Amino acid sequence: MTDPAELDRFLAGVERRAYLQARFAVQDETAALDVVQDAMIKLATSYSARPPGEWPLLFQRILQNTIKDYYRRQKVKNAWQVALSTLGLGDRHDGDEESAEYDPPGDESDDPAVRLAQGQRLAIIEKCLQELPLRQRQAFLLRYWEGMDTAQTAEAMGCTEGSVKTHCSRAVAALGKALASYGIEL
Amino acid sequence: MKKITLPPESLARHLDILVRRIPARAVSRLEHRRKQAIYHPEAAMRQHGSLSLGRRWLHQHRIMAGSLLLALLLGGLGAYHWNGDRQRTIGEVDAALLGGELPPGAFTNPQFVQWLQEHAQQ
Repeated sequence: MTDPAELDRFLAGVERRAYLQARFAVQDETAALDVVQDAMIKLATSYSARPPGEWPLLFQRILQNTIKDYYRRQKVKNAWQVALSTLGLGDRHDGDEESAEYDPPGDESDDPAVRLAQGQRLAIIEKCLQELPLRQRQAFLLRYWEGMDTAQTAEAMGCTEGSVKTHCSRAVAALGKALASYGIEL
Repeated sequence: MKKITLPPESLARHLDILVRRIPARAVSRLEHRRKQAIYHPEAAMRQHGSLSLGRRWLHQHRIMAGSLLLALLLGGLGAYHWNGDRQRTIGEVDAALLGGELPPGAFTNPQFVQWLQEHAQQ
């Protein structure tokens, strides 16, 4: 039997980072919230009985799989939209009323110049991360942001450690190149 | 823009800043969705151990339950097929009994029934 308060504490501690990961992947605030909620429900329904020490890795694995599922669903949805639009039945409404505008990060520094520079840097980093291929971004974020080792990252991503190393090095190279074009070196 | 160097670990620190700057509206929606996930009916039942015995068994033994269902289905199909064969044999004997000139006693002899079936196929 699991204490819901313990699960609540765990999820409260990881939800923001999970949301940011999802937002990088799906580039839509509402869809990112859906992805995080789906991952939370899956953890709560299927794995809450597991020892709490296992939750972080399980949650990451569920989150990565939920993001992949989202991509698959989008692919099917897009295929249908293309098929229907060729028949003249397509829903030409591309916008999502629920999706809210993304607020660019503000700043905590008092110095306007520092605030401006930091805000610009954050926006550039986010843009460059969004442009990375899914697997490279996952590997990079899990290794360097979530602080997982190669084995844990491989488990969360459902691949081999060799693949994680390859994805990470390619992600660092791609990020370095993208950031260099903005005058930032990795 | 002035050129700056940013190692991956430092980039991760920038991401932490992004986390702190998630809009308040998104944070409150996240909290709301977390509560919904934790108190999702199925999750709540699991947390309180109140899943029915049958459902819990099914969750824990999915492969076994699947095999059992498959065995039941195959058993049902087998019984249906066997019953069909039996009905057909009875029908053939009944037809021979009604249409033939032999005394009914001949049909109670198992060897005669076998002979009848062999010749009916020819």
